[in-house]
Amino acid sequence: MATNVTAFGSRVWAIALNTWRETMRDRLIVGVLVFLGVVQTLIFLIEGGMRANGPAVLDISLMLMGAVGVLIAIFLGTSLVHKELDKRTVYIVLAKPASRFEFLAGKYLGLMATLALMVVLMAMFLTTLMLGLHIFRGEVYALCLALIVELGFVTAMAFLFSTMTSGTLAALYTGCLFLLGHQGALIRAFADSERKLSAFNYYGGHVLYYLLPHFEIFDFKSQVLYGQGLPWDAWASALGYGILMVAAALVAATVAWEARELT
Amino acid sequence: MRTWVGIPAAIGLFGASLGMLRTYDTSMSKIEYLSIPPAVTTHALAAGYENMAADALYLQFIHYFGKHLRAKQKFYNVYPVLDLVTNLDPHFEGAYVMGSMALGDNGQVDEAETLWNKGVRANPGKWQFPYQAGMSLFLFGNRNDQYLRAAELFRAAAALPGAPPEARYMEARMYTVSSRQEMATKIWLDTYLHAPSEEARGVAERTLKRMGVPLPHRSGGRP
Repeated sequence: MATNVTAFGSRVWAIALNTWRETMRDRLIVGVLVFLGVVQTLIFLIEGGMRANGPAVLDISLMLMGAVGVLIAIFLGTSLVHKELDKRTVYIVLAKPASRFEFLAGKYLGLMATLALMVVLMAMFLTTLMLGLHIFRGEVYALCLALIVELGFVTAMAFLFSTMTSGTLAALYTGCLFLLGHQGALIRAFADSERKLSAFNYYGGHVLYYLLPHFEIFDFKSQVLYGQGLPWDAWASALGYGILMVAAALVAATVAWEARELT
Repeated sequence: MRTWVGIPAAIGLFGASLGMLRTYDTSMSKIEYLSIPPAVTTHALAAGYENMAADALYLQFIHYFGKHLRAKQKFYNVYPVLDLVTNLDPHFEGAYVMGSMALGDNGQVDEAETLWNKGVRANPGKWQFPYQAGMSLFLFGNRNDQYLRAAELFRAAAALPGAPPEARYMEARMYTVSSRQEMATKIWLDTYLHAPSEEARGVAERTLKRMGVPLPHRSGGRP
C-alpha cells in the first residue's frame, strides 16, 4: 500500500515537474510579469505625482493580478492537455505506468505551482508598493491566498472543459463560466424578487444560483481597501468552497478524460 | 478512476462545496456594505467610458438599495457611491432621484441635499433638478430652514423654461409649512394675478379663498 502511494506520488511529481518546466519556459509568464511591473511602476509614479491616496494603487494592482492570473489560468489550463494531444506526447506518458488521473493531477499541480509563483512574485512587488506608500496592510496576503484558490478553481474548470472538447471551445466555455460566476448576487436577487410572483422563477433562480460556480466570493478587496476588516469566517468559507470545487472539477475531469477515446 | 466512483465523488464534493457557500452567505449577510473602487481608479479604468461606468455603478446601487429596502435594513456607504456615479455622469437624473430617496430614507437628509445641489449646479438649465431637490427636502426634511431652502429651490425651478405651475404651488406650500404665511400668501396672489394658465389661476383662487384672503381684482378675470 505504502509502495503504491509512493509510486503514485513520484509519478504525479514527475509530471508536475515537467509541466512546471514547460510553463516556466513559456515566455508568456515572463512577459506578463514585466508588463505588470511596468504598469504598476507607472501607476506608482502617477499616483505619487498626483498625491492621490494609496488605496487606488492597491486596488489597481490587485485587480491586475486577478485579471492577468485568470487569463493565464484559462489560456494555459485549456492548452496544456491539448498540446500533449496535438504533439502526441500524451501517448508516451500514458504508455508508462501512469494513469490518466495521475497525468491530469500532475499537469494541474505543475500549472498551479507556476500560477502560485506568479502571485507570490506580484505579492512581493505589492509589498514594496505598500511600504513605499505607507499603506501596509497585512490582509492583502490573505487576498493573495484567496486569489491562488480562485485561480486554482478557474484552472480546474479549464481542465474539465479541455478534457471534453477542443481547446478553443474549452477557453470560451471557461471564460463564459467565469463571467457568469460573478453574477451570483444578481441571480439571487432576481430569484428573491420573484418570491410572490412566480414560483418557477423563484425556485429556478435559486437552483441556478447553487449550480453556477461562484468566483465572486473570493473578492474581499473592498473590505480591505476601505479598512472595514477582512471577514475571516467568510474568507475561510470561500477558501473551503474553492478547494472543494477544485476537487469536484478535477474528479469530473478525470472521469471525462478516462471516458475519452485517444486515437 | 472508475466512473461509478468518480461521478458520485464529484457530486458529493460539489454538495459539500454548497455547504461552504451557505456558510459564506451567512457570514456575509450580517452587514453588507455597498463598496466601490476609489474614484481615481474608476476614472482611470473608465478610459472614456465614464457614462458606462456610471451606469454599472448605478445598477450596483439600485440592486443594493432594492434588496435592503425590501428587507427593511439600513444602508451603508451609499453617499460615496452616488457621489462617484454623479461625478462620472453629472447629468444622470435617475441617480440623483433614487439616490436622494435612499439617503433621505436612511435619515441622511443633508447628504441628499448635497447630492441635489451638485445636480442643480451641473444642470443649470433644467427645472427638474431644483424641483426634485426641493421635493427631497420637503419629503425628508423636518426643520424650518430646510423648508425655506426647499422654497428657494422651487422658486428657482419655476423660473426655468418648461417648469410646471406646481413649482410655484410648492414654493408657497413650503412657506406655509415653515410658518411664513405672508410669503405663501404673496406667492398665491402672484400666481392668481399673473399665472399664464387658467388652471394655475384656479388653484390659486381656491387656495386663497381657503386661506381667507380677499381676492384682488384681476383684469379680464373674475373678481
